[in-house]
Amino acid sequence: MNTTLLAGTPFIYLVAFLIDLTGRVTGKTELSRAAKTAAAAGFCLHTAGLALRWVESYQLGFGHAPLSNFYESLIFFSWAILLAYLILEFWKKPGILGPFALPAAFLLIAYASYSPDVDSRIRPLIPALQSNWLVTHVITCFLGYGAFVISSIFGLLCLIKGNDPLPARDGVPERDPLSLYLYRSVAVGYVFFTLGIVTGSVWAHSAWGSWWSWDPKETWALITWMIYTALLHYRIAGRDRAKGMAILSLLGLASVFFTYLGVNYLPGLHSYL
Amino acid sequence: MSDHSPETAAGGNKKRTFPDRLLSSPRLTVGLLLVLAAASIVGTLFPQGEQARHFLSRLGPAAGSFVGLLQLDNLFHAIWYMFLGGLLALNLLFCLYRRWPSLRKALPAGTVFSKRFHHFVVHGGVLIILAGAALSHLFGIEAYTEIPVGETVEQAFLRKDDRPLDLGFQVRCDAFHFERYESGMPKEYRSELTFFKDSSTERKAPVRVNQPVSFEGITFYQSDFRKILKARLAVRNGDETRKVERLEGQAFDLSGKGMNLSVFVVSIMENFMTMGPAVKLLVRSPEGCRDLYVFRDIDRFLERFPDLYERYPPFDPGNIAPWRFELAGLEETFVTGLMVNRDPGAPVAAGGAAVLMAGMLLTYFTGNDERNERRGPARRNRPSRGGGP
Repeated sequence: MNTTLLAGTPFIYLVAFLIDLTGRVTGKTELSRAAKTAAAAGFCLHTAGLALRWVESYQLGFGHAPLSNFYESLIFFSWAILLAYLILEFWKKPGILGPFALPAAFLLIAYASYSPDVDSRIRPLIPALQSNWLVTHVITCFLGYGAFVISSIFGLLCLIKGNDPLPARDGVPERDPLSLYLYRSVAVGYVFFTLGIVTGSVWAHSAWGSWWSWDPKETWALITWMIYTALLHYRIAGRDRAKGMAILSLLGLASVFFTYLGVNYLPGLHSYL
Repeated sequence: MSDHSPETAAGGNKKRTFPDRLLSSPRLTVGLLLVLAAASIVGTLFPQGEQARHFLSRLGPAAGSFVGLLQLDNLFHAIWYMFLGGLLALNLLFCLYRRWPSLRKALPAGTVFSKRFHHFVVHGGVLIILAGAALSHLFGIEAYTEIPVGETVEQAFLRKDDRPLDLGFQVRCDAFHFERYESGMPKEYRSELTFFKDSSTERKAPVRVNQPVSFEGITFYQSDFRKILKARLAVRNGDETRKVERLEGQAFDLSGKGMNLSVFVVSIMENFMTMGPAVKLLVRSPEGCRDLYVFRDIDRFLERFPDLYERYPPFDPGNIAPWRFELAGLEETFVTGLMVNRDPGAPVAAGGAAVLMAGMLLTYFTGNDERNERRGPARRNRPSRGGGP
C-alpha cells in the first residue's frame, strides 16, 4: 500500500513541474502559484506514503523507520528536496526553484518507484543497522543533502546570470539576492550535514569501535564537508564572492552525489548495493 | 577562519610579520580545504593498505617507488597529508589568536549572542575535535581477538602489525548465538562473554553488534564470527579411556608407563581423502615426532583394504603404543571475532563536536548575518566585521 502511494507521488511532481514551466513560458504568474500548490499536495502524499510505510513495517513484525535501504533513501532524499523547496518558496518566495527542484525530486522518487534495480520491499534491519542512531544520522544527512541541492540551484542561476549587465529577467532575481539565498541554503544544509557526520561518527564508535576509520563514505562525507566549509570561508575571503560560491556549490553538489551513490562502487562498509 | 582582513584584525597592532599574515589568512583556509579535499579523493580512489599491495605488484617498480614516496597506499596517515591537516589547525589557532583581543573587549559589554563569540566557539570546537583525533592516533589501541566458544583468551592482536597485546585480564566466550529472520537475513550476532581478573568472576555480559561492552577501560565490539570444527577424541590405554575435546591448534598431554607424550591437533577435516571425518595429530615423544591420522569410520576402510595399516602406518590408530586413538565425532562450534579497542580521544572529539554544533546553531540561528549582505554591491568584496561562519 505504501509503495502505491509513493509510486503515485512522482506524477504529481511531474504535473507541478509542467504547470510551473507553462506559467514561465506564457508569463502567467498564477500558474506558478498553482504549481507550488500541486507540489505541496504531492508532498502530503509523499509524507503519507512514508508514514504508512513506517506503520506497515510494524505490522510485518519488525518495525523500523523507513530509512534503511536504497529505495527508502531515494524516497527520503526526494522528500528532503521537496521540503526545502516548499519552505523556501512559501516563506521567502524566490520564485525560481520550481524548474530545477521539482524535476530533481521527480527523478529520484520515480527512479526509486519504477526502476527494476531498486527493491521496494520492506526488509527487517540487519544487525549493523539496529541502532537508535540510524534515524538521526540518516535524517540529518538527507536534510543536509536537500538543502545543498537547493543551494546548487541558486549557484547555477548565479553562474548563468554571471556578470550580465542586463536587468533581471522573468522570475530570476538580481544577483545579490541569489548569492544570499545560496549562502543561506548552504548554511542550513551545513548545520544538518555536520550533525549528520557527528551522529554517524558516534554511531561508528559504538558499532565498529572507531569514530573515524577512513571508510570511503566517511571520507567522501568529509570531502563534501570541506568543499562547503571552503564555500563558507570563500564568502568572506574570495575575490569574486558570488561566482566563487556558485562554482563551489556546484562542486559541492557533485560531491554530495558521489557521497550518496558513487561510493557504492568503492569498497567499504556503507554500501547500499 | 576569520572574516577580518589581515589589516583590520590585528587588534591595533599593524606591524605584522609575513608568516603571521599568511597563517591567519582565510584564503589559506580555503586553499588548504580544497587541497585536502582533492587529496582525500585520491585516497578513496587509490587502494589503501592491504589492497594496495596487490595493486602495486601489477604496476611495476617505478610506479611503486612513486607511490611509496608519496605514501599513496596509506594516504590518510601520510606525513604530507597530516602536515596539511596540521597547517589547517595552525591556521585555525592563528585566527582565534588574532581575534582574541577583540573578543575579550566585546565579551563584558556584549552577550553570548555576539558573533565574535559564536565564531570562537565554532572554531574552538573544530580544534578540540582535531585534538581528539591526535589523541586517538597517538594513544588509542585497535586490536582484534578471536575466541572459540568455551575458550578463554588474555591477549588480543594489534590491527596495524599483528603484535600481541596483553589485556591484563581474561575473557571467556561462554556462547555465541547467530539468529536469522524467517527470510534468512541475519537478525542478531551475540557473544556471551565473561571477564575475569584475579581468577574470580568479575562480570558477565552479552556483546552484540551496536552494543559493545567495556571492561577495565577496554571495549569489546562484536565484529564477525566463523564456524569451526571441534574433534571429540577418545584415547584408550588398556581399560582406561580418556575423552578429549580439542580444536585445531590445541594440544593435550598423555602420560603413562614412564612415557610422556604431547599431542598437537594439526587439522580437523570433515571429509579427508573421501574417507569421512578425520583428525591429523602430531605426537611428540622423547623419541621424536610422528604424524597420526585418526578416522571416525576407519573400520569401513579396513574391510576394503585389509593391509591399510601396513601400507600407511600413520593411519593405524594403535601406531603409538600403548595408546589407541579413536575419533568419536566432529562437532560444529563458533569462533567469535571481537574488536578490542581503547580510544582516549573519543570523549574529547565528542566534546569538540558538541561545542562545534552549539557554536553553529548560535551562529546561524540567533544572529542577524543578513545585515552585511544588505549593504549592497559597493561593499560586496570588502571584508566586514561581524558576519560569516
